Amino acid sequence: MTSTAMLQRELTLRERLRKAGWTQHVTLGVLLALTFYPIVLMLLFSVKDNTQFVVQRYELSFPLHFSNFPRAWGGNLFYYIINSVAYVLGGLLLTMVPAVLAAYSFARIKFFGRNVLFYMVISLFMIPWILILLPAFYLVIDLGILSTRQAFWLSYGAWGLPFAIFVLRTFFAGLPEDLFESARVDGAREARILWSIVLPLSRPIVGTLALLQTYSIWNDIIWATTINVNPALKPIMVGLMQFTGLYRTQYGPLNAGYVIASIPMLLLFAFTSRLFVRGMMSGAIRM
Amino acid sequence: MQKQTAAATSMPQPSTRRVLFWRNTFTAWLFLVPTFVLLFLFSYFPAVSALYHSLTNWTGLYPAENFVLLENFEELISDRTVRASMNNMAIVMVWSLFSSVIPALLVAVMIDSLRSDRAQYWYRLLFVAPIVVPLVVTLNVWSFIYDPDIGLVKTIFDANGWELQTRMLGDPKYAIFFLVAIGFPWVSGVNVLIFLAGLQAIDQEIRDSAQLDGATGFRRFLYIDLPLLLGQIKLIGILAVINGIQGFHAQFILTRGGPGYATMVPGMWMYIQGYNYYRMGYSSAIGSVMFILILMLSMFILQRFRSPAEYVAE
Repeated sequence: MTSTAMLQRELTLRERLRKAGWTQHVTLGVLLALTFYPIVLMLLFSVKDNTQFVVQRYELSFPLHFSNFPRAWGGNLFYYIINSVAYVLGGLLLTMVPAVLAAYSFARIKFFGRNVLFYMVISLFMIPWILILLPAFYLVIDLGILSTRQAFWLSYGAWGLPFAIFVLRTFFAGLPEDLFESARVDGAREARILWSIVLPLSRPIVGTLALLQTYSIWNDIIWATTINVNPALKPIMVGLMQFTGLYRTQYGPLNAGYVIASIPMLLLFAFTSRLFVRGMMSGAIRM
Repeated sequence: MQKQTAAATSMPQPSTRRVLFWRNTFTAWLFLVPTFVLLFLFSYFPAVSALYHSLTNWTGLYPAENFVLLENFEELISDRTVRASMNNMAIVMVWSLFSSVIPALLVAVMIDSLRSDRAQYWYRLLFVAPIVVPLVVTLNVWSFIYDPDIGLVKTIFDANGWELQTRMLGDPKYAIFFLVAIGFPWVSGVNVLIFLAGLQAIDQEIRDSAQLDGATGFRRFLYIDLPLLLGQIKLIGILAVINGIQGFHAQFILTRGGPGYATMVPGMWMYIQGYNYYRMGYSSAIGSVMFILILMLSMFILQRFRSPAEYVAE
């Protein structure tokens, strides 16, 4: 009798735990902790001096040496960040404007050569980036734009296009035909329809694509190293390589610099995470 | 009279329709000019250039070059570094496929099974948040974790009184495994979001009827969720394979393919040959082989794994 009662109580307890999703919370919590510990290490080291780093490496040690941050700031990080922002803005402009125009044409205008031209764009998914990396570098030399901002803008702009066009075309094609029909009957030109009907509706997906493109331009290092030899034009990734070499043995300022380099994207993420998550979850990104 | 004009606007005469079609063509081509100018310069031209130069001994520096036909490819077959880098590439590729799909899928399924929307929101946000840390920083922090003298792994071994037998990224035999293990536990926030979007698009009715048929928990996941997620798995899988074949960021930033050729991959070797040794012909040949490999694998994945939604349409 008592044992059945106990069994019953045990079952309800287990049931209650399962309802609250404890297994999931524990597993997700552990995975989060493991995902974040390199970031925690970076933050921890950024406020240590060399003695603290040797003696109490994995614990919070006082006093906190915030002076590491101004010292790291002295390593030209500011200029690198400004350069990166300039490349992101230029690259975004040269991807999003042509991509919107092209995707609109492919999705909503019936014209001569539509399929052939669309397949030409899509076929670029199959061409690996490493195949074109070095020939593009020699093209940059031939165009006389080695170590200039234009080289970054044009190349980032071009390489963002196929994915942006592909996703935007899917989105534009899904818009209801009535919108376009009535506007065309009213005599609106395509450019006008695009500007005043399509664009306002596609702000979330355009924003999400812009964010993805921003993260990928921000993280580019191989191409940026290849096409630029001018120290004044280095983006933050290339700057960080040099910075790492410079502060190799000074772990405090080194990690302080890493923290500083993460701040621009952190700010961007803070303001756009809602949009980003919503755009990614909208289901437009699939095959 | 009025009726006539209405008919004329809604159904244009053949000639007006043709005029309209060509006017549309003009507009569309105008819209496409910026795209194709950029793509021609930085995608089509370099791609054709690479394929063409794989048959030459171009140095990149001087326009002068000779056709050597298949010499580059012959050298490629006998190049021991290429063989070593192909082995590493296979390891990286398999690992990349596993680590992009499995951890993210597991996390997505767990988040999806939570009842509270608030909890779901916060987990989504937290898992995607690490994308703010620059790649160079992540890799360098990991290079510290692996430091054989003062790194975290060494400290953990010392604290437990174990002896660390390997110099990790400096180990000529196992460096490649330590390199791919970077990023543990490999939960990509972006992939989690893509999977979650797929999971939440699954019709609740399908799940309910599956539940009536007795499919719950793992079996429901296996027979209902997984087949309906194939579109997302395919996308992430193809991207992972492509990245596995051509990616060499970790090598570029940390190891340069070393020690020796222990972490060399074709991408890194292609870069060194073309950029450091001015052997653009040979470098292009490596790139061309990678191109064909990626093409074949992508086709294979697209053909082999079709999602059930596509079957319905057939």
